[in-house]
Amino acid sequence: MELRILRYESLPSTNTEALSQARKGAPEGLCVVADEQTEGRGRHGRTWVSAPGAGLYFSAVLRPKLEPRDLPLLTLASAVAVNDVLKELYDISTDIKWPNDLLVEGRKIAGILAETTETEDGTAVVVGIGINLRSSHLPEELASASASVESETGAQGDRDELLERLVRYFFFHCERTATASGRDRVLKEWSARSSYGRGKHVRVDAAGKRIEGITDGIDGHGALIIRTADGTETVQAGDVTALR
Amino acid sequence: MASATQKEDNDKGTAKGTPATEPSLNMDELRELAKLVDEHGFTDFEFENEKIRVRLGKSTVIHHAAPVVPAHPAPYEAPGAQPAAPAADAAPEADEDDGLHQITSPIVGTFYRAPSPEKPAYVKEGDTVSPDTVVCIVEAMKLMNEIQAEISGEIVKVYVENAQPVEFGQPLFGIKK
Repeated sequence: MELRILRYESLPSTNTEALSQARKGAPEGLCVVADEQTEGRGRHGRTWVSAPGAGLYFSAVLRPKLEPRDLPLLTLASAVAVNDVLKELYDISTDIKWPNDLLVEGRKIAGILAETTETEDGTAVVVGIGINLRSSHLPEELASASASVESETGAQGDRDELLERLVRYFFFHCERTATASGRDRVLKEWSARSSYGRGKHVRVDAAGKRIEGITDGIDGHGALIIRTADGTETVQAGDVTALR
Repeated sequence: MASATQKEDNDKGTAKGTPATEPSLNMDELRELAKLVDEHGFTDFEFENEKIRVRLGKSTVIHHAAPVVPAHPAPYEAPGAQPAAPAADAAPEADEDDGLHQITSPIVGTFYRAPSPEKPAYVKEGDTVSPDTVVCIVEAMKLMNEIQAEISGEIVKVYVENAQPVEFGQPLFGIKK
């Protein structure tokens, strides 16, 4: 894999740019980084606030040889990578909220959104990662709902150092999904870093219905298993809220 | 500010360290929040905890799901049989419904007809598609899987409503070649 990093001062969205590069034939290893996103996206049309210099906005092109049902493991592997980078560089302990939000005491410090696109060279996956470096530019009312490297350490950190470490860990963990034993490791490592995986009282708003219960692990593809009053539910997508 | 929605629920849960106070914002607080969001130039702001969800947006469109085409209202089930794990690939099977070619879901997930709630559906009944036309998204674990038509033809059926769960191999669209 050849690593190539395209850096921009400002982009509408690093994911959109990486998807466009993938459709034009960009190989695995192409990364897009911007200091600002003017239309940063979260899940299903939500906005990811991406003010100039306030975060690291990163997207990478992957061309995994995986069955479609295994592709979501890449987002769990990405969360493990971000967790470990924040711990090792800044000693920030994060909890992974299923499937891949990074929280510091309930406040979001990083988010991940992945998208696939069909290209002439097969399916490409773009994984976008946003890490908050500072939240001091936000008014107190908004800042209190999020965390940043600055809010946890008092300094914003070195952006280049963060990028270098993130790229290395990200590709390392994603490449492990290529084998069955590697996928198993990803699931185990995810579970070890998430309080949401097991024994958590949660509410999930998923696909038009609301599920409440206690989490009981993730299945072999990363879906969240929840024990409810009526039985067991397996959740593939939805908003998880911790209760108590 | 075109819209501000507020949602409460009856859950008893309280976040760690969050005092169990009255859950709702009053109108003054909401106005204050709207002003702050406006001053800082955001076009969209969303905040949610156990008790409240606030979304503030400047867009003038109505915040609602993409138009839902009434299709088969019942959840998908293989008639007369427990759905076994399909042995074959996810290759769409033809001729199941009036000779229509069916686009099926390659994964278990949530079906979305539009890229976001404010945007129009990728395709609707009557649209002509080519193999590389994106017809929908199926989400699993925050991976948005873009699904293409893979053949040329006309969309004549939409089998699943927006934001509904879909199974592996479940028909999503019927296409007349």
